[in-house]
Amino acid sequence: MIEMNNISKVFRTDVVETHALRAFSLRVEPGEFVAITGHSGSGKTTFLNVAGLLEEFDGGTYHLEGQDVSRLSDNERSRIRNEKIGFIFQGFNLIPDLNIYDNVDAPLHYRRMPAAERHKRITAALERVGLSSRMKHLPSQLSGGQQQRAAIARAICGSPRVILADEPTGNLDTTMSEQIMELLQSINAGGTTILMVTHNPELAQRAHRQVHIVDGRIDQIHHFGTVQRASAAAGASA
Amino acid sequence: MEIRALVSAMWRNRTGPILVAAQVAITLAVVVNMAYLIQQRLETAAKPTGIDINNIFWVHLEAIDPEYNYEAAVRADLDYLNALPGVIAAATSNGTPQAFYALGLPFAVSPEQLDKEGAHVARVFMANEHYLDALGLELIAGRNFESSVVAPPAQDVPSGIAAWAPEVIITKYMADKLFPDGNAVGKPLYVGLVNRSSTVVGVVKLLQGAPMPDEQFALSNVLVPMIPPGPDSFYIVRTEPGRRDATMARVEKELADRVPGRFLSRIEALEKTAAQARFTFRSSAIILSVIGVFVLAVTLVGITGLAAFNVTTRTRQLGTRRAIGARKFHILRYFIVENWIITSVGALVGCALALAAGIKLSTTYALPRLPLYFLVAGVVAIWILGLLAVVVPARRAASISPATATRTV
Repeated sequence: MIEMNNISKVFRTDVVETHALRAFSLRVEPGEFVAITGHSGSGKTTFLNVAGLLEEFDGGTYHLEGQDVSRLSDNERSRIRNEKIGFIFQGFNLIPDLNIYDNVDAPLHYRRMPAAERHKRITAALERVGLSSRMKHLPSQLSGGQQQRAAIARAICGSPRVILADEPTGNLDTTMSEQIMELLQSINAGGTTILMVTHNPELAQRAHRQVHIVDGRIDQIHHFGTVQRASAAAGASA
Repeated sequence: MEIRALVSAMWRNRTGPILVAAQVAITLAVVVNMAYLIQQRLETAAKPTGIDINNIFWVHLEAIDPEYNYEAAVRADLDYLNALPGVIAAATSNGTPQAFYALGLPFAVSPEQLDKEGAHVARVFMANEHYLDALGLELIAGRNFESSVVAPPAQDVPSGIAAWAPEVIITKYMADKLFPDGNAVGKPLYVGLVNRSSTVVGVVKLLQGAPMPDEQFALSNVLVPMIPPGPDSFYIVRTEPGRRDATMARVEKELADRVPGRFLSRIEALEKTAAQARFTFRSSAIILSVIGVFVLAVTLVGITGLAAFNVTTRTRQLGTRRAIGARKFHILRYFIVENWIITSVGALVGCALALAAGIKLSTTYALPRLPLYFLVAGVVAIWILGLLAVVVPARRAASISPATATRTV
């Protein structure tokens, strides 16, 4: 699914060079739920940005679903982000001027999907996250947990192969965090690969694997479970 | 692009867009009418006069001797001027065309019409038998005045007008207005104030009394055969091409001294008089142009300002849009369409304002109505202006990194 080899990323200013990622290599299998942990400034978010094609990297190779994405044009990167990757942000990042329906609709619009198909996907996604009755609400009219669920609906409505979650429960209380984690686990059980950056060790232990980053390098990897195949998961959930 | 979502989002933050749309509307209304006024002024300045302006000069003499014999002096001066080499014709009159001061009277085809508001106001030029040649006017119907019909100078202007004249020559414009059947010659023309009538004996093709936007005021002129009252003399002299300045110099040197008791107060080429009369139009056109450009520049700044403000306040949102798959093109298009909607709403309101202002201007200042193609051109110009105004902020928006979505938490 994701195969990074010797990825390096350096942020340069006039006076300082910061090596955010150093010889970073990671392989993530399809359907895997990987938690990325590390202290602030360890390189977690940079890894997520590189993995999500939000940022280019300086060295190494990166294959996403077998495709070399190292030297793609901006348009091509946008297309892959739109079609293959779903993003969940700590601050939810819903567009404040659009209602929940239109927020979920946004990535589908960029894909130029027909209106009927979009409507079907949006209603299905909002139903899945329990926000069917809130689709005409603005983000500001929802609680933090509801906003994050709306963001998850936006991430999954395009049927991405991988979801990248950056501290998805960072702004939520324990109860809300639990709901979001259950939702993510259920999505993962449906076969979607999830990479989740978190500070919370308890949440990290709910992933199949925890990758701990220190100074832009993988320091430790802990395995907590095995990947459930999508077909099996689908059967189980049914 | 989902226009509904865009409009809905704009409506939730409507203060800025409404202010800019209002600015666009006012700009359109002002600039369109201003452009039309400028065009009117430039057109007026360039309109044909029917006069051989480049070869004419006029001279004004003031009498200082109480015993000065004005009538004899006029006849002597006209004999002298008409005999000068290179002079085509010299005439006396009460003033020069192409200046704004004039004697105006109401005219009509019947006494009944004179009592109505429909009376046709025209300038009155006192003329002798040389007047048409002195201005180079083209007589297209009837005949010129005969010298025998030219009345001697009256005591003053009111008594001269009161006496009036048995015949007049009018312009074609006036003939068309008062005698729409096309045959003015031989018809009576009634003049208001003094309640007298004259027979129209001739029609000149064109005589622009003064460069004015309203054709009626500019082209309605009546020539009356009479020597203007004294004691000051006024002559119009037309020369052969290329001989005006030399003749002027000679007249300036010789004319006043030919008769004692007077002095030459002013001599001027009609070309200069006409240019000065047009200066107002040209200078006001320049001033209006400068104001128009300034108004457009302020609007450009307003549109750019709103777009730049939106980019700054939506940085994270734009990063998020990019992260979920928007291409740079989508962001550019978003801002351009958003701005187009604002300018279009402003343009729509501006069209209504412009039409209202145009109607008010046309009724207040007797100007023609604002043509619709000015509005169309104004809307297109506003769209182009809006597009230019938003290009830089939109490009900046499109350049926002998708990584901004994760950085600005």
